[in-house]
Amino acid sequence: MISVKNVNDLNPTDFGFSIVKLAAATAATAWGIYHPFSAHDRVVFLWIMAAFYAYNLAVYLAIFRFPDKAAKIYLIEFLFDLIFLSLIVPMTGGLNSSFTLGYFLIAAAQSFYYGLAGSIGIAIIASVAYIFSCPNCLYTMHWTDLSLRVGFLLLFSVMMGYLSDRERRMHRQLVNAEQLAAMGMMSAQLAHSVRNPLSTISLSAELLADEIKKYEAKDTEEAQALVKSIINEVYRINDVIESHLNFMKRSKAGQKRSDVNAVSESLIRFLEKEGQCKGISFNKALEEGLPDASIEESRLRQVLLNLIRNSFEAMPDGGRIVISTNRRKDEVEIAVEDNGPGIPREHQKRMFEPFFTTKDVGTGLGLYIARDIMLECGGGISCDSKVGRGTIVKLRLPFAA
Amino acid sequence: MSRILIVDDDVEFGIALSKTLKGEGHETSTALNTADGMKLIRKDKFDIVFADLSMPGENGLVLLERSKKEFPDLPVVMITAFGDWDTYAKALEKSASKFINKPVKREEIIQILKDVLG
Repeated sequence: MISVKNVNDLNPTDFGFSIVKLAAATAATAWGIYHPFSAHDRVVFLWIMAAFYAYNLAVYLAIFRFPDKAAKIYLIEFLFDLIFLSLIVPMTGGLNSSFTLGYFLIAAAQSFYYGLAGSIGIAIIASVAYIFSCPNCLYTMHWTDLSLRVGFLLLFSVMMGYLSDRERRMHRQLVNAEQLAAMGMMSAQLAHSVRNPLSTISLSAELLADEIKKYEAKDTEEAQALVKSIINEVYRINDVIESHLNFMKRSKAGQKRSDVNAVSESLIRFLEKEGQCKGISFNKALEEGLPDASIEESRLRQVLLNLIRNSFEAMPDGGRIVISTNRRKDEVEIAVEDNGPGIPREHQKRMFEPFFTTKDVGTGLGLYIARDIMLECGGGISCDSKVGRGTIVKLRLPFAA
Repeated sequence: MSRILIVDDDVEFGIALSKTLKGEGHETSTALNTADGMKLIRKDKFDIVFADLSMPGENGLVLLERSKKEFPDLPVVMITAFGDWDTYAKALEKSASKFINKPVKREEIIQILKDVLG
């Protein structure tokens, strides 16, 4: 149910890059075949392309073989791509060559990979390669043209880097929310199952203490000390559990203020793909200009994730989920509605109870924790469901101060 | 002396709690689930019921609800393994007489018996 994915594991990205590279190389080869060229130039050009194919094949084999070294391999690839391009550009018309656009392509791909911080360095190196690919042009081209081209290349890279960072940050936040939710559930479950035997041990130890007291006091000093230590240790274990649960709570604490529309939209973006695979579409009806709600973003995300996951699981054959936000007097209301099979009346009464579940695999803690978080933030949660029609769960949250 | 019913699916805990209560001079019966617990409540007259919140199938809240419906005056003490019970308890209708958290201490049980039975 919970997919915990390493953010650095960018296999779909690697795959996407290899396709882009192949498309670019194919286009360049086609250009080499059909472009009016001298026979000699064409042969040289096509040999360079052949080398380019061979080197890229090696690069991608290396990346797919050693995915953890991808960052280093991409850096080498970046430099080699620039070298290849700087070989091709002078023989295809210098700075007027259509291949100069390749610098933009390389800078964009690498900036996407290395993010904002890397994008500036990448843009500078690409610009230098761009200028030096045709040293003669430095004298034939006016400096304003050259500056403008380099400037655009820089801006283009930085923009790609920024977008890539934003995308990655959003993804990481959502993965964190899922991990927190999973850990919260695990802790609660663990605490629960450990406290049962602890109860038995402590009560039995107290009974044992009574038994011991029946004997002569001077012979039982040692025994009484032992029993006392058993009881003390039981409470120490319980303290450990308690502080762990408290830690889980505190670690979630941040600024108590969320833009519910922004959180909803980022969640929809995050889950849209997964929904598509399951035949579930998302709709949103977000009221504009809502005040911030009094809840930490990570916790709101956790609650909404729980609700949407429930809807996903209720609709294995596909369906529709509508997320809406509204202003209700002095509260923000967020509703998650699905057109799944609905929840029978007898289950509706119990659905917020801990460990209540109708699923084969489920902890029965998702809605319990959601309710817990809502109450703690001074809000509430309610559910309205009709069998055969669907379910709507509404969250209410006070405005942030 | 009071007649006390313990409903808990954890057999070992049931035995320990039962012995503790007997040690205090009370008479106890035990049931392992809500259905058996209700049968005993209907059959015998109890002064107080200790029920575990989470039991497989019908949990302690179901027992609480049914016994309140049939025997509104019978005090029910819920035993929970949630340290963080407060928020949930607030959300519930306050029909349970008391809550105790696991791990249970003997002095706590004695105090609750005093509070509930007078």
